[in-house]
Amino acid sequence: MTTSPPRAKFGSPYNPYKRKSIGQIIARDYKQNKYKYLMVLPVLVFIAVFAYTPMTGLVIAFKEFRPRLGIAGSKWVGLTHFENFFNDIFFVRILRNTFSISLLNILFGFPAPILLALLLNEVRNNKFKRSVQTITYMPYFISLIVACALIRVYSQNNGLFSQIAVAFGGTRQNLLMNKNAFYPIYVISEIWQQIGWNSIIYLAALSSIDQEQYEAARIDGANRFKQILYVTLPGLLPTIMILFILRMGSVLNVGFEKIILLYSEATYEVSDVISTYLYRRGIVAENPSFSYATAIGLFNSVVNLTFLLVFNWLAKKATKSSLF
Amino acid sequence: MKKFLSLLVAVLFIAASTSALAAPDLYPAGDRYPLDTDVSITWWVGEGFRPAEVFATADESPFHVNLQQLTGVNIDWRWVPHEAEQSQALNLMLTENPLPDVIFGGVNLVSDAARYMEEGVFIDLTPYLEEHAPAYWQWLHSNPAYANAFKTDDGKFFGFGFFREDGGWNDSFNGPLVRQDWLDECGLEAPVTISDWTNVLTVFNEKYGATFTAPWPRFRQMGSGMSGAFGAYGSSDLSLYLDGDGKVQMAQAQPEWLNYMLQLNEWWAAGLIDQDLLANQSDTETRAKVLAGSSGLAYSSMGQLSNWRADADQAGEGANWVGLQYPTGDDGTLSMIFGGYGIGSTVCVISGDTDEAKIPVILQMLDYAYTDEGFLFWNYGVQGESWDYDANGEAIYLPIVTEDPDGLNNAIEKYSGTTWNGCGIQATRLLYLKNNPASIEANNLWFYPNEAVSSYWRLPPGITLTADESTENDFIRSSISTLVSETCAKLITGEMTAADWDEYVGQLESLGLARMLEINQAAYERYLAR
Repeated sequence: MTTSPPRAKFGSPYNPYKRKSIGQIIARDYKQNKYKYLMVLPVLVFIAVFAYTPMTGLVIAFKEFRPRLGIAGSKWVGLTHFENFFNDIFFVRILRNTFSISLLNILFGFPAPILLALLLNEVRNNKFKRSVQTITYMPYFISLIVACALIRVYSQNNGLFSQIAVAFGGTRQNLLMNKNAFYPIYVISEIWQQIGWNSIIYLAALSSIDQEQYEAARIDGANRFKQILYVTLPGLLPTIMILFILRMGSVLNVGFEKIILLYSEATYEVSDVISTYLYRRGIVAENPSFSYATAIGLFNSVVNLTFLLVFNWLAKKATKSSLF
Repeated sequence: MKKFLSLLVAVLFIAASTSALAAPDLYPAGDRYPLDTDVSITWWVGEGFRPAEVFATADESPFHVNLQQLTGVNIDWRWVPHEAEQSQALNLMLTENPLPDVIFGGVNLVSDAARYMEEGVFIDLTPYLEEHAPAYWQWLHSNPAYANAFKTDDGKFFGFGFFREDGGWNDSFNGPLVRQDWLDECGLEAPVTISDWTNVLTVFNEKYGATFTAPWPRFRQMGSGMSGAFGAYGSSDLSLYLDGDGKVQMAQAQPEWLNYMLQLNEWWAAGLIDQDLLANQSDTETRAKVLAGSSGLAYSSMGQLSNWRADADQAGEGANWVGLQYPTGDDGTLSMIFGGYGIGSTVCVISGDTDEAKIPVILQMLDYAYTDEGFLFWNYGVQGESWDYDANGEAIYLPIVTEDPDGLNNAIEKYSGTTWNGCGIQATRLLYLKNNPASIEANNLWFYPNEAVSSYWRLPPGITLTADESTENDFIRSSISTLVSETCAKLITGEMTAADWDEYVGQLESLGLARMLEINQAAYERYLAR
């Protein structure tokens, strides 16, 4: 007696008893979706050429790279560059500064656009809402160089900030030469530049929350604050989580341009981060050490990846939303 | 004493200026040029005599076209864009296969020459030089420092250098500047000693609310600032020097340097120094301050002096910036200012991928710049086109240059290959023609009084480290230089005091200061033995 295997409800015949190799699956799928595969092809090629091929260059972290000898011809040095980096007297300091700046940025900079989006969402006057949106995301379009130039001028001894401080009974000083002021300047200016732009994605997510949920909440007697707490925030949570995990994945990537534009010897102690150190040591030095810079970069990426995986795992445990 | 000093200065000045203006004794070009050849070469140019920014291609640039016509060699020019980062551009070019025939640049081409030769980036010129480049050969041997700068420890010549005719006048292009109108108004003499400086700064501060200011990147440079008056050899950038016994030392580990820092701190605490000093990251910021009248005594460059004077003329408020001699110690000690041997840090080499048959032609083409005729061409262009002799028999630029709408500096760059860095000998006269009288006067004040003490202490250019030494040295040096520049900042602002000195010196030792000095000492001794 033969029993026909159960069939899937829709689509092609499906045999659960017989495992197919991945190749067979793709081959079959390809036959059915030929043109979609063709459409994906350029993207795959792009990623292979511009993302994966350059990765092979990472091998110079274990070599003493000389441009003329090329990647293959340069001498192997094993883990020397990593040892040098870990033994560097500034290793602890730049690592600490990198984490400090990055975490402060996340602590204050990450919730800021969420708050702005929530507040904007509550505004009923459309004209006002739109103007606030435009004004807050305008700074995003100012070039970093110009933004930093503004900060530098305002922070001068007789600059705007000093004058405000004096008006309130403070003293004149150049804020960029004050170690204690560096983090606030960095974080606040970062929020100022990014808040509007980053809130756009949350505003988009907000508009997709089902209006019926609000209606139901109102019927249940929830006031506006309760509505935010029980309807808006849970609706936003998946977006927040994804962005948060991605943000944690770049915890060691503090933008060096901004720091280089703002720091000086007077603030190295708090402002010198991995990327600025790498820039001074590996790129602009008279004898740039590409291998050393690559080793530090590789270390950077490994730490970032670890963070990404850890937070992804935590997020999965806690909220069931994760990247993969 | 003062009188004697100023007399000495005057004598030195006259002696120096007359000798500076006499044309150097160069090998005659004869009728060797244009060469009878149909060779074409590629020439890669890093920083230096690139076609002026207004030209899109080398075919528009008179200097580059003329050089081909005069030497008879067909040159395919390749140059690094003006805004590009030099070391990146150089390293990128080095990965090319084949390399361009001729490579001109700075970065580490000189300091790493031995390694580049080993890797086949450039060829050993020793077997060819005397025969095919007689003019350069003669020039190199006119001064032992010249020949030594362009050969490796084992005596191989590797390239064609850039030289300043006067041997250093324009190497000291930074120095102190003062507002003469304020000095006159207050009835003050130009300050000479450090005590005079304190006095002038105090008076300017009380009367005009002014402070001492400088663009930090200039102030921090090697040997600059007023460090010399204290017997110190450096500012904030790590600097190595030769002491009286020919031993390599680091300036920032000496007590004299601490004294210099303590004086700066004293001025800082009294509010006599611009409290933004370390944050003045560019000339622009300082220029704005100076224009606003917030400084009467400052430190900057010849070029900036021209700008400041132009600004003042436009504003019409009577500010009269002039150059000022580097301060002396209260006992009259002269400043060991930064100056030099008049040897540039760039080099022009023939690459290892060049066809053997082309080498003699290339050498003769490069040799042109060091002949009597070529010297004039590289500095002024073609006689009758861009320059001619005046009634006194001295070179002057013709109206095509002096009346160029792009401004004098840009115009000279169109016809000359040595305006700031080239493959030849820079005429002092070119600098006189290029700069305004006030800037020249300022540079005279910076250089001549201190000439005798301005270069003997500098490590001569061309000292090379071996590959292993270089890796180790870089590693130690980068850590120490960060510590030094930070300590400098802390000492100036008073965050660190003399009490912290011993701890700092201990840190230097633990970072490998002794080893770094040892490496450089060995390299210096190898240099001497060349």
